[in-house]
Amino acid sequence: MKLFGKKDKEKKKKTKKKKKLYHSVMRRLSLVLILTFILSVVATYSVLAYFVDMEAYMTAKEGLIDVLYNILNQAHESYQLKTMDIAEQIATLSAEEQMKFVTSLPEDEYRVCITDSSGKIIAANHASDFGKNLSERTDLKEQSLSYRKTEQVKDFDGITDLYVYALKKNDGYLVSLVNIKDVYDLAEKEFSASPNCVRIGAFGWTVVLDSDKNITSLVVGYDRKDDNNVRALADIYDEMPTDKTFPGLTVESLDDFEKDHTLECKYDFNSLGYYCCVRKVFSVYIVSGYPVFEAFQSIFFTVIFTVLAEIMIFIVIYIAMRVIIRRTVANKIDAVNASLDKITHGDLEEKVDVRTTREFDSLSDDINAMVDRLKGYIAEAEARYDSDLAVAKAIQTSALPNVFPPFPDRTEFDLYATMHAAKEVGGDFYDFYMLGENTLGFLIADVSGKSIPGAMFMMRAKSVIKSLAESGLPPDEVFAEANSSLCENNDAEMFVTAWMGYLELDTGLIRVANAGHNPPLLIHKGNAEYQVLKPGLILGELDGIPYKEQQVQLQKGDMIFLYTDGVTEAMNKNEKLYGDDRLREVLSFGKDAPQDDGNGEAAAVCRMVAEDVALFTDGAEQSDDITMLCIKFNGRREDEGA
Amino acid sequence: MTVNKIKENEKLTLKIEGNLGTSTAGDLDAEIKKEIADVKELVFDFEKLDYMASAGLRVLMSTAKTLKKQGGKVKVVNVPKPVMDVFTITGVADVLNITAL
Repeated sequence: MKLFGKKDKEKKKKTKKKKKLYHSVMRRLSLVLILTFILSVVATYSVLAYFVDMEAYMTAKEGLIDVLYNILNQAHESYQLKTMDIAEQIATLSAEEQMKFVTSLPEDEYRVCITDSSGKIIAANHASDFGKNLSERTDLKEQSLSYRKTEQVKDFDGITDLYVYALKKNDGYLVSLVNIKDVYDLAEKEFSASPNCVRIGAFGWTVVLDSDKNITSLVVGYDRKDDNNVRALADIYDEMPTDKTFPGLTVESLDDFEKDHTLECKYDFNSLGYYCCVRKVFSVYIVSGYPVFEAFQSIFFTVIFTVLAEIMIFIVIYIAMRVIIRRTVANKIDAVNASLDKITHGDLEEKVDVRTTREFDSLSDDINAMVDRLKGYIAEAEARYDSDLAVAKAIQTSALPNVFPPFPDRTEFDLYATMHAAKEVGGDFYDFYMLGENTLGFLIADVSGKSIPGAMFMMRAKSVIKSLAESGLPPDEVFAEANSSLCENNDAEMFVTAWMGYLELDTGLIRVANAGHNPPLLIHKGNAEYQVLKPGLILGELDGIPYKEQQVQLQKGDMIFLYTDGVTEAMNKNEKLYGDDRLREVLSFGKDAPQDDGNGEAAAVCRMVAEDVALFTDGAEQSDDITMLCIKFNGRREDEGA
Repeated sequence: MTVNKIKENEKLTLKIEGNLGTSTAGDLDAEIKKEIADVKELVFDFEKLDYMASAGLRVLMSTAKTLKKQGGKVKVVNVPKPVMDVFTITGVADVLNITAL
């Protein structure tokens, strides 16, 4: 059984630093239980020890009292014998002679008298006793002739403390009345002559000390329970203190004794402890000793049993607590945490369902309600976001010209453009317009911002460029002015890359302005080449930048293909890019020009590229707008059909 | 995309690893905004950068503007070829302080 869970180390790293509730509780509980256990053992032991003390002293005292009784009994026996002696002496006499005998006994000794059957004294050695009735003081019952009585009488006719020794006679009693003091004196005399000591229990004893606290000689010690169990004098004597004296019992305490006062104390000798009772009797001291070890022996098994029982109880309590706490609290909290864990990892459908108590019931409900509210907020936010995106996309799509062919009567060129918007990103655009009879203006652009702000910037850029172009400015100046315009009020710091061309329809010359956009491809006889011109700075970044007009020359039958980086940077699932090379390769179709499906050759080229990109990405999510603009130059009107 | 930030007094170096595309550009922007307040020199180390889209370029330009406003400057170092191409095409190679790999 482990008191402190060492299994903690196997749990997740996260819980390494904080202790588990269960173990924290069990630790404290264990501490409390151990303390309580110790306290109860100590308490039990103290109580038992107290009672042991009490009992031991009582046992010792009983031994002492036994000795006292022995002493007194001896005295009583003596007086009884004396009375019986007198009885014998008068047995043969007549009633009158008996009375005479008794009356003539000496007065200076104890009182002797004869009473009638009612207890009235009819003869006594003390004349004043005559006529008194002993029955007032003591119960003289008519008994058999072997009746003997010894009784202490407190007061008889003004005389205090008498012992009565009565013998039944034919018609009355023969009674000796002796002063207690005389009884004691006799007792003392006889005891001093032969002190009787008793054994207490197995190893207890009584001894008699003289006034110098020396052991007077022991006669015979015997077990008071069993007279036959006579222990040898030598045995007891051997067990006594080495000097045969009791130095530990202080003189003062001994001498301060009243006759009836018993001193109780613990006394050690021969490296053993004894419960001692000491009493002064006459001029000697009776000491009884009862060994501590023997006293505790009796409770030894009680203590062992109690301690074991207490250990068992505490173990049971501990195990029960462990199980209860684990079941009612720890496991339930773990269950709640497990559910919460799932929720924090994204499973908002997970419900906390621990309902064993009111608190857990309430906790489950509260958590579930909170998660529901959270789901609501998330749904709202997503809806808002989605609607924003939808607006942006609508703005974007509606702004781009989508009627093809845009100028059906102009056969000098075939133009087609597409823009496929990605979900989140917006901002690609293309535009084209006739700038005079002979010039086709066209451009492709990519705005850096996204969603609604991106769409708005796109609108702005498109219209600024268009109006500048339509005002007759050459492409480089259009970009310079557009740049200035877009740099203004551009807090969102968006920029736009753009490639703009004015195609002279009679010569096939394209006058170009490039603002940081990807170089287009020129397809000449089925062979595509990048037209890398001098780079220009993106629009909207830095005001005052000049743009340089550059030129690209188209031959009859050539195509120019403009695109945004949504094409070349399209990613497949392995995060590989479509790339510039692949675009060039697919556009170098050689003799296999893509099939015109009725929308014109430019449209066919755009479709071909779109299909190839789709083939490459193979279902991966589109991350950027895919925009292309393709123009086939057919040459001057007059040259057609040549 | 991961960003390693090394700050020494007023110089902040950002080592960018991975792809700087539409989704990750926002993260980079957030990271920069945390530290930019007292930076006088901000260095972008693109040694481990695989690819940068226009969104990434936008973060770069916007950061350059911010630094300029607080009297600092931006340097772009260890630029791999594909990323260098983007800088060249968009013309920002002349505007920013760029060192090729």
